[in-house]
Amino acid sequence: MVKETRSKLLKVIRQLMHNKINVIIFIIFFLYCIINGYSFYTLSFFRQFMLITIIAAGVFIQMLCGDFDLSFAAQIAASTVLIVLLKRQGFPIGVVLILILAANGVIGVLKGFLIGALRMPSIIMTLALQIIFSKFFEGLTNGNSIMLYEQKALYGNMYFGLFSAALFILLLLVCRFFLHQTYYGKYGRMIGENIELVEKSGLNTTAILIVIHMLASVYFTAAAFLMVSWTGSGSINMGTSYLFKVLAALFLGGVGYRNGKGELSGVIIGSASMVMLVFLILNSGQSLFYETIIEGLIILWSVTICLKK
Amino acid sequence: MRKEILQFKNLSIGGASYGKIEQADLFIRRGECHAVAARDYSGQMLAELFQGKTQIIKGTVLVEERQILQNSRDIWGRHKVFYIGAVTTFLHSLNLAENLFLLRRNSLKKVRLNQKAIYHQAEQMLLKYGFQYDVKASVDTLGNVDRLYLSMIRMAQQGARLIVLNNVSYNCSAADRVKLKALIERLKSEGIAFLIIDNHLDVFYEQIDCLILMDKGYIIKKVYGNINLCRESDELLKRTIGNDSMAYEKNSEEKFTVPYNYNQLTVDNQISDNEKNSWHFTKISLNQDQDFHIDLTEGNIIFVANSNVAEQERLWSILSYAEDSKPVIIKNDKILACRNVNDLIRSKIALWGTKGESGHILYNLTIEDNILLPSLKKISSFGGFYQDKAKYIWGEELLFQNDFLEKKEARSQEDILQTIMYKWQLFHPGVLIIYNLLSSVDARMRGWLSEQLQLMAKRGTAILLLENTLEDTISIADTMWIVRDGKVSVSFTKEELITKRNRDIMELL
Repeated sequence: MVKETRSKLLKVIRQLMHNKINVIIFIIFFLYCIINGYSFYTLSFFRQFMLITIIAAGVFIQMLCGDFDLSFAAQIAASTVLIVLLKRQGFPIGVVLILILAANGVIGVLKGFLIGALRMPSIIMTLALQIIFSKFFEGLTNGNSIMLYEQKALYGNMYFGLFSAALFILLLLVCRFFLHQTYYGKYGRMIGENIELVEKSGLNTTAILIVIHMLASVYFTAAAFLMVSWTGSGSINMGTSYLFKVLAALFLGGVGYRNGKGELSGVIIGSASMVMLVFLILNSGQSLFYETIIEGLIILWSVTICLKK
Repeated sequence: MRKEILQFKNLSIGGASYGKIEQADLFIRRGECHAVAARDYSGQMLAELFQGKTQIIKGTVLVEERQILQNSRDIWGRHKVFYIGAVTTFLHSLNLAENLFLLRRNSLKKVRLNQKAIYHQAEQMLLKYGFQYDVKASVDTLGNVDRLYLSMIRMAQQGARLIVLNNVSYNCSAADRVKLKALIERLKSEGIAFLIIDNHLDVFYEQIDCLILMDKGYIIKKVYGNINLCRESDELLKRTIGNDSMAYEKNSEEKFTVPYNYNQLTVDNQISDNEKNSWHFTKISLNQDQDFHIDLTEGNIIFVANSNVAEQERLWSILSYAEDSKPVIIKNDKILACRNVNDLIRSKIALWGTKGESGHILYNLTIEDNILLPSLKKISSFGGFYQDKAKYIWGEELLFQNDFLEKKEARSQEDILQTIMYKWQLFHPGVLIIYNLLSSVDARMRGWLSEQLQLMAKRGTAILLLENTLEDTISIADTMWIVRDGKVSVSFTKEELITKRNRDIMELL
């Protein structure tokens, strides 16, 4: 009994050491809240946490199979613009969502095909897509936000808040199910570890990558929908601030860069750390520039640790 | 009458690294085991066909009377013809059962993963063939031989018609070979045919139904049945090739010319043992209970044999700094500060294995540049001004004057081995650690490599051989150790090795 307790305790300590950066951030954050009387259990905190986690889950699924996606932020921002434009044309919200889901699905198919069949390096391909999306929609909207005049933003709406929370939990459960209970989750990790071996074994890696990128697009659609609902507007600049936050959250959560390693729990922990860090910076009165600098430093630090492992 | 699985009709293939195969006629029936005996790389040319690396120029390939028009690994897989090479890779992100069931041609319509069913089926599969592995365990602990067995079982489960085994025996100890032969027999009885391409065909004599003799890309003769005939395959090759054999041997000697000046560069035999450089590799944790250590002296060749292939692999991993625990290296009573492989090279300790970077060359460099690479610092002048490097190699003081260096790139395994050998000879390391090199090549290459290693030893390099084969290795070793459970159980000196027979030593292993 004592031995079992001891081994469990050692396991917990090992996990804490493995996540030491996150632990430090958590401790600093909670100490700050206690000292300054700041209550972190506000809607804005949880909204940011949900948003970053949903986007990070989508990017995580792609990173598991070795693909580094730099276009997700532009894709989400473009989706917000399209949602608003379609809504202003009078389409019901259900139809709008289906259309956006289909559009993002097509982008997912394109990504999967370019990476799987044509063997394009994912970083370069997604960088090109990011430039295409952002400049196209910037041209379309002149760089301005487009408002949903007839619909009040659902920012403070309690029912929508519950709906958002339910959607968040559902998406996490789907992600977990996908990773642990489906063939495609396993295939994704296999491809992330050694794509040549998987191909030699006879599996159709292009088809698998297409499915995985289409699933990731579902998460980006959900994130775009939530953004539009909370802000009542769509803008090409909306997603850009999330690019480094999400990447930093993933690396903080121990997601392996291009090697098929990582767990959903790590994504959640990393996202929580990132949100706490942002709140610390904002509430301490520091300039937002520091936020981006810190995100960059976190990415460098976490990738170094990942590579050492 | 047994059903024909594979048929070649007047087949010519090209695009292989080693050359072409011409006018090959072959048929393999269900449950038969064919083996390829060749004194050159004809067997490897055939192996490349099944790896999808060649093109079919002429003739037909039929698998169960269905013609194969294009050659690719995927197409062979669809026709249930599978290839297993010397090194078998599994995925570390999956456990053993998942490697058996997911690393295969599965229908993508299956979405839901039934983990329990996979574990149960994996256990049943392993029980059927008499293997006991923990199906939920990680594959990190599996040796190459275990992966070989599991790959064969996985292919059998996929309904394999023909399995091609290329050079798999050199990684096997005596006990492993017994298991391998039993597995081949078992799979043969289920109707799976085998095509074995190996440098140690004596391992498979009891399983072989037909011996295919090849030379320069042609099938010269097929010998059916009779184990005694198969045992003398080397003699058979000599007799079959006939008068050409003398010319062939002469040509091969010219190809592998000993560097003209090399013989003169020998260690002064007047130096006593006390004055020679010595290396002491210690804190090698093969076994949790005790540390293993190796002592090397300038110009000595030590052969370390181990019947436990996993332990031998671990020893190589430790010495090549692939593991977390690193050995402490003491040279002439001074500890060398080596944290990684680069530090080893700086300390003039070279590694040459069949796996990983040490067994390869850089393909985007020419042969000349590959040979120069580790020695470049010593040749290029200070201040970053590079002189014409070629004159240092082709000049009188240095080593090489044969036409091998006129080749721009290394195309075949033979070229690669020669390049690496010349690279290390030019580098002139204090210690050269070799893993499974002599075990993995054919008799002719083994003879040449042994000669070159002896020349290096004469020049003062201490050589440590970690090998699974006794042939040629015993004849060049000054000392032999048999290692068991992390310690030296038996040791032989040069005189004892000369008097003892290979069979006696095999028994001790």
